[in-house]
Amino acid sequence: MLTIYFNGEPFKVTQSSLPDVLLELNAPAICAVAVNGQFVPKDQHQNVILQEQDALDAFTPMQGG
Amino acid sequence: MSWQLAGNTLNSRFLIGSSLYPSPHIMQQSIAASGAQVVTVSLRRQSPGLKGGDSFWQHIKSLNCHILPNTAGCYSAKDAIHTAIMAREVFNTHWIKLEVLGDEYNLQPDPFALLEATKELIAQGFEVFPYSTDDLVLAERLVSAGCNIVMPWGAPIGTGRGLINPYALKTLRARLPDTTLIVDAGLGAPSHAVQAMELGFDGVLLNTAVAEAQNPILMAQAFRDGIAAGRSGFEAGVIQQRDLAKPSTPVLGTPFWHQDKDDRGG
Repeated sequence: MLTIYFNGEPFKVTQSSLPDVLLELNAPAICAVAVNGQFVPKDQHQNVILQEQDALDAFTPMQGG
Repeated sequence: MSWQLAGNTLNSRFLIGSSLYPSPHIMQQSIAASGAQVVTVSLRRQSPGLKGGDSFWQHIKSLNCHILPNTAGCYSAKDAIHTAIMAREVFNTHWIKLEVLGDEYNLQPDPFALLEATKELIAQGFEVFPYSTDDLVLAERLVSAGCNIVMPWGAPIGTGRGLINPYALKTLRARLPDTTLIVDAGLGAPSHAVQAMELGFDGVLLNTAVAEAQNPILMAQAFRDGIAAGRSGFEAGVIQQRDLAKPSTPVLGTPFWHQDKDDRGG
């Protein structure tokens, strides 16, 4: 079990690879992902293993002017 | 009449924002009523479990418009570049409305950080739509950096004050005849858009004036018509102002007109 911060809130997850964690957290299908403030392009998700206390952020389309 | 924006042929010169509407439904109807073919959007982190972003995106996608993601809220070149790169992946476009703000009071762009971010993003293959002030030298530097488009403000974002410096905007148009110039932000009334278009600007981008109108859908139509009218006026060639009145109705042959009287036409 791993505690990570997903969009600022703590979550316990059983997986550690980024694609699995996104699935486990039911992250939006369309989003950009950053780990500890660094953008991770989609084609590199599979190379990322999350660590305890990592910050995972998912950015989704939103209203804008 | 159609025009070219970043290699795309468009029929509308109205670029519209997707924020601040009373509801997603009114947003969708307003954008449709505006006739705009370019819609600005943003990227935001949302609370886990909320699906608002998905719903919003479905509404936007159904409009079949070109998507222009922004970097709103960024106060450094680094943050803006980071946001632009993420937006490229999410929205699958190399277009970016580049906002790098320098002051929290009037949300004025930081010209130095804007130029820095522009250079980097152009090097990375982006089509940069920089949100700038009406400063001529900044606009020239942005063009020198590779921008095909510059978007000077009419007034600070959301103020509805209209064109606060028509002289500066007119100068931009005169000095950058080959650059696509779009007035972005600060407009409140359709007449402001008419004025911008009559100055020869290529388009108008706005959000608040429509979204916060009492009737956003009707206001979207009003701006649509104003932008088209202003453009037609520019293309038709507005007459020069003069001090001396000049009758529009022929004086010769006026009933009861006598040769020895002054011309008093109307």
